[in-house]
Amino acid sequence: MTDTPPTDEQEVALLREIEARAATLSRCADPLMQGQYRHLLGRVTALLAIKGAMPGGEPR
Amino acid sequence: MAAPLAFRDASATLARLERMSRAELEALQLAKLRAQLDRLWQGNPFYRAKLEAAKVRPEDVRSLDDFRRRVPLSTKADFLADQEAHPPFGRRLGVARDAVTLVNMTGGTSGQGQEVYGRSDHDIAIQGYLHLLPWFMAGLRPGQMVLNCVPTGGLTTGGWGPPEGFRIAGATAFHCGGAMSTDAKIDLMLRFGEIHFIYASTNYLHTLSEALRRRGIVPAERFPSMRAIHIVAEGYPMEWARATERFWGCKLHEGYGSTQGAGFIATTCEAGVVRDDRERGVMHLLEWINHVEIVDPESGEAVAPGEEGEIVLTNLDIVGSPVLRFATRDRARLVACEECGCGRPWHGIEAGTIGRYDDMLKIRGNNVWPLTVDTAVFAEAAVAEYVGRVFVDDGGRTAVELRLALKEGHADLGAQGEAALCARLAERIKERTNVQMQLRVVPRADLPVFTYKARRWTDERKAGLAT
Repeated sequence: MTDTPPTDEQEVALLREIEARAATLSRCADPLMQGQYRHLLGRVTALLAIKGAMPGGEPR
Repeated sequence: MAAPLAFRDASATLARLERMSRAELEALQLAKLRAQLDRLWQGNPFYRAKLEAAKVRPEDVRSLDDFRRRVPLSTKADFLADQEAHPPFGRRLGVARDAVTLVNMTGGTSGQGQEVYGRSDHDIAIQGYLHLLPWFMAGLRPGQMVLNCVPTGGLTTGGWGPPEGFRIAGATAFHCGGAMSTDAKIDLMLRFGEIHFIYASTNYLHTLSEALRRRGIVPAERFPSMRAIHIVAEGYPMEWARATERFWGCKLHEGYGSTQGAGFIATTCEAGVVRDDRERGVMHLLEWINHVEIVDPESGEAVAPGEEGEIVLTNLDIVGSPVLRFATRDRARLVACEECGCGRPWHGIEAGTIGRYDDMLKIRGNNVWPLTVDTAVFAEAAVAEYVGRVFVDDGGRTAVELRLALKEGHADLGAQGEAALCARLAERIKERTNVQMQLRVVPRADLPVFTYKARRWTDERKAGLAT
């Protein structure tokens, strides 16, 4: 970890990583957590769209 | 007024879009549009059927012009018929039913029915962003104190988008619209003192300003930290905008949005609603999120800059209940991006003059837009509010009555002063509409107080003819 702010490309790469992990989390069987993880995933796909990385983000 | 912020390049993410050439922006739009068309073709039976009926496949759309020429318009009636046939969301939903985490509905004020929009978590985040972005452009920054005067919650996008937008802005927001009286809101502002940003309908900002005047409070002096006010929903005269900026001591900004757009579709840049102290501002279209066409409603052809036309809307980032070439019935004047002078490549629509094709009143053969009368009436600094009534008089003729209420400081005009005001306004309205209207001044308490969108006009002609 460094204090250097991420570059634009690094931001997108980090979001992609989080997206993959959030997609895994959203398959969780616990109904208490499932909606929250889907919310997290939706937030990340929207951030990717906002960063211009993914036209028309799909909920997975 | 507070010192201007450095708006351009305030965000690296936005700067990329601000510094694009027009050609680069259109290429981005086309890429996103083609991705959206592919997605709809694969997973949205409503649009698949519409495209198949028009004999268009996604790969046939090779340019934005192809899109305009080959893809048919969608209308409110199409959506209502789809919902009727496939309740409750219609086949237009396009995502799994259990992916819907927010339902938005249109207001139903057209009398035709309410469109239903099923939004996914992704869409809710985009809706929040489509509220944050205009406010960021107006100068809102993390940590600032906000008064949100638009009623929250309910079923409309306008009730859910703003709280989400302020939350992701990192702002400290008071969501007091609809929940508190105007005086209670002023008390809240006085209690917390440091307010930076207000979001309100045009009409409610007018009500709030009136209430402050009544209490002898000058916001430019009492709230010197105010950075911007962002208004929505209604047009206004330039005189009102200039006076409001002076009264508040900050820039006035405006956004145009709708449920179909999932939030704001256009917003003013740092110039605000008054450019160079004389020109109407430009609401720049956020064209990489919603593709916007301004077309002649009769011919369907794109209008030229400076001309008025109907706003036709296509979502590029929304997945649940998206719209594709939706004919909004909203009327706007197209402004080419070069005209603003801010340098952004985003085309725009004129601030302060958005109207509805549906609002038009046909009076003695003349097309009368409520906005035209609003602009004439509110150019008079003494007028606080008005309502209009179209009816059939005892002689069977169509007549129009306007009842005006005056602001607190002008309530002592006297009979002569009131008569002069009414005569002056009647002449101005006649010049702009070709309709002679009867005006009279009434006490302020006789007229309603509108907390969001003003509904100033009633048409009683059918009732009058029936009796």
